[in-house]
Amino acid sequence: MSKSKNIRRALAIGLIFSLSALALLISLAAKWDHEAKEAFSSGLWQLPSSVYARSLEVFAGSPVGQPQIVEELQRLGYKQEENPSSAGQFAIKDSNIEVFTREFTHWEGIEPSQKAVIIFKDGSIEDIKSASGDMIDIIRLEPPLIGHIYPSRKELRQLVKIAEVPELLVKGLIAVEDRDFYSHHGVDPKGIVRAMWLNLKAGKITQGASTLTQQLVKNLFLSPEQSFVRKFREIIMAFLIERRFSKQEILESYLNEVFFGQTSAGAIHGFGLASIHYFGTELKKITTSQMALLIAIVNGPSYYDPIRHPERAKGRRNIVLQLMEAQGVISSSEMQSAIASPLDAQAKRRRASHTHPAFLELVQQQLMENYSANDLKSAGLRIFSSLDPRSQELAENSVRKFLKDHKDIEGAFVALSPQTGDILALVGGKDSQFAGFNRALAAKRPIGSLIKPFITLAALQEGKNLASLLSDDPINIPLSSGKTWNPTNYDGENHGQVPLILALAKSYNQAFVRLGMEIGIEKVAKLVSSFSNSEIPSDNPSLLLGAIELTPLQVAQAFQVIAGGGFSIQPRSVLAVLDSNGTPLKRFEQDMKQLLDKDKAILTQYAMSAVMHMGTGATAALPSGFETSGKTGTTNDYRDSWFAGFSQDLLAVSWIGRDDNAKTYLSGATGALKVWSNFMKDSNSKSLNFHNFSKMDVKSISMMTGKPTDIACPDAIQIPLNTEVTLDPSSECVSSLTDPLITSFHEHQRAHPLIGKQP
Amino acid sequence: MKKRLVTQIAFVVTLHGYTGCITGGSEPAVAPTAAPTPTLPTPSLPGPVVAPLEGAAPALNVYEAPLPEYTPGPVSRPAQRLLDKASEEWKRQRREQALALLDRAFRIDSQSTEISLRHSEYYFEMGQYSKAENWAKRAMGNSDVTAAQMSRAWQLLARTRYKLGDLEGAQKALKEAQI
Repeated sequence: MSKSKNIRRALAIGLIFSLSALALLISLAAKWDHEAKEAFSSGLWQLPSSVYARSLEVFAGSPVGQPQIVEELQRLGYKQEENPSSAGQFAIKDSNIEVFTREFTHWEGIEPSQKAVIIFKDGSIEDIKSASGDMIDIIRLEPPLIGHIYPSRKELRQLVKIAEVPELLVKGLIAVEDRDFYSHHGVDPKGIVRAMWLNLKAGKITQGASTLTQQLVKNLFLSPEQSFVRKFREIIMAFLIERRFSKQEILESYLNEVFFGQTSAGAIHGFGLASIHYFGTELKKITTSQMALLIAIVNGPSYYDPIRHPERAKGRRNIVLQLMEAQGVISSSEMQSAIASPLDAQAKRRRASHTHPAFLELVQQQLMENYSANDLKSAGLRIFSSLDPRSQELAENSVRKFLKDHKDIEGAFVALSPQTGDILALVGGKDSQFAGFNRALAAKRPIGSLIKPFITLAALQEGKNLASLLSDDPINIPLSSGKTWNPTNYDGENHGQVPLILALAKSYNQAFVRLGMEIGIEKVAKLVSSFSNSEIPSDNPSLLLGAIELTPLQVAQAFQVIAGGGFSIQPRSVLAVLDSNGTPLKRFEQDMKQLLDKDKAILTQYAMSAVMHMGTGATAALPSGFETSGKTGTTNDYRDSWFAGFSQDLLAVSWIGRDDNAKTYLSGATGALKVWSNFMKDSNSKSLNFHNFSKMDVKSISMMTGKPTDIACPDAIQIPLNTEVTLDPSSECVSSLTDPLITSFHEHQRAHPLIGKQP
Repeated sequence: MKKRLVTQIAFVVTLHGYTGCITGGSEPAVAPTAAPTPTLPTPSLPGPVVAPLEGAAPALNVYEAPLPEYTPGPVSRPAQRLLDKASEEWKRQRREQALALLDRAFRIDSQSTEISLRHSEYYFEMGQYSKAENWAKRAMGNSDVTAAQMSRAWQLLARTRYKLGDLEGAQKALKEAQI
């Protein structure tokens, strides 16, 4: 009695336990099913936005030399061949380059792939010809990928539709990874037995038993841990997914999900991106041997990495080819031919190995005005930026090289086109790869003597000219606090009466404070405020020596108006945005406005060129004949070292300082100018042309007296003046001139005299 | 029957509207386009629109008249290629594409007066008068600007100022255009 009672009790407990387990299993299955359904229906992947640099325009007359084109092609992952036969290849033939460009979708349409010969002469492009010998006016290369705006997981992929994937690749993948894919229901018992048998025969693990569906489940939903529970969940989920989705859907998801390895830019996922990553070509264009290599890599992305372990990868590729042949996917001769072919993976990977976090931050800032943070991180936008990779590398190198021996001193650099407002380079600190405090955008620092060109401009607007005499005598300015401000010169000297152009070149503080007080602090503040698009308080005379705080980008924006001939153009880092399918979404136009009379801008440019010849910028190590304009800036106790300067098509601002605002012991000339000139000398930019002033008078002025003098006098410097300007009578030559910089500028002008308005 | 007749009349009226018969204009018919055409703001000017030049009394509002015939100035070969492509896109009413091509041309040859003038013309046609004005001014500032280009820029400036309601400025610009 008691025994049968115990049996019944045990049975009851067993039944309750079984029912509970079943209920638990059903509820787990329902949860996992829901999870899978949700994941598939809401889009499996968050696609990071891709940010591209500018596209290089190649045309006759462009000052780009052969080395720069080769550099760009290498940056884009083009392969150097004897005879380019497919897109993404080039050859160097004597002084010419033969290139087979890739097709690319730009904002205004598709740039087709084409074969061309670029002919160089004297360091620039002389002509471009097609394969048939016809003249080509212009070629646009695809833009280099410079980075991504990521979701939380740094996964990179290029989605492919199953219809776009070569049939041979699909067959090969199934033959190797899951030969019963079309007949099983997520789990393949036959495959498990077969794998066990083969592994037993080989004495090692040569084949796995997971189906493609199981692998997909593992990659999408599960952690990499090896446990019974995890395996159980994998099997159940694979079964559920097979019930809910078609084989084609599962296959497409697998092709886009599978992991191909890690790069500094992020994890490579999917065959679409893997093809571009390893072969520099689209998936639909790869060869049998390349397909086999990709299938081989799937088995162990690090172990079979074709770049680091080419022999190992080749061995696995050949096994894949043999399996494909054994299952009738390819013929024996196709297998032999593929086995004989080289590995073909790129020696230099074309994913962005250099990131530019400072520039990417600016891109995000600009885009946040138009797109949500979520869209930027997950909608797969294609963002076309203004970054010039060569300028960026030059800028990074210049900052790093100068600061490598200066512990705790930081730097920032901005380069832009004064004509278009395109930001070409941006460096936020000496470690340009570190996405930390971005000094180019966020470090507001006093600008010091960089204010002086703007005071010069305000003076020109008030009727002064570059020969106007300023008093550089000591000055006392009573402040609202009751104290008195006594600004002094850098050299501690008083220079008496000096022409405006010389006061700017030598950066005389006393002369400029006097001039600024005469014009009015408010006018100067208003001018700088409108140029830099920032709020400038006008309640303190120390503004006249640059006691106003601006970021390097704001400084660049302010100087752009002078360099751009009086037209203000809002600096831009983003040119256009496409969606993930290549459909145009938005184009960012040049926002241009005239803020200044062109003649005043030109006169200020000229006065700033005198800084480079006979003033504080004269130590710039630039190539002979390369005319630039610029200005140094140094703040109290050498806390900030600035330089802002430009050529015809390039403006750059350099800042050096410490984050804790301590002394650097560097002036504008001994710090920032060196970084700037190191950048400019290799920039390939166009020299300013101050030779011909067809709408102005040109007069020779004594730098000692400020009066007109004979051009032959050693103190004579030629100055352009508005035609309505009348000057005091001529003065005699001053023979006691001892400033070698003025002498040098004078001699330069004797060799290259200015031409004024013809009577 | 009556309803059908009304529909037919409405159709004919609409058709005439498209061909310009209703307004009596002599402009050629403009096909309806896929791209949205910006509406031009009506300038609020004091009094009736009058001929701007002293001694002249044209019946037509000179600011609304098409720009006079003009022979474009020299442009570098690659920039010309892009300008030609921009023209094609413009004719196909793909205005944003045309402007993107002008931007490319400007990027490779920012000193070209012709490119600035084309920007001004396109923005004017799109009803973006401030932009048209700025580009016309930009064209004038180039060192290689020819007399014909300068006149063209003033013509554009006169029209943009008129559209922006600056009749005095428009008259001055028109006068400059004819010097």
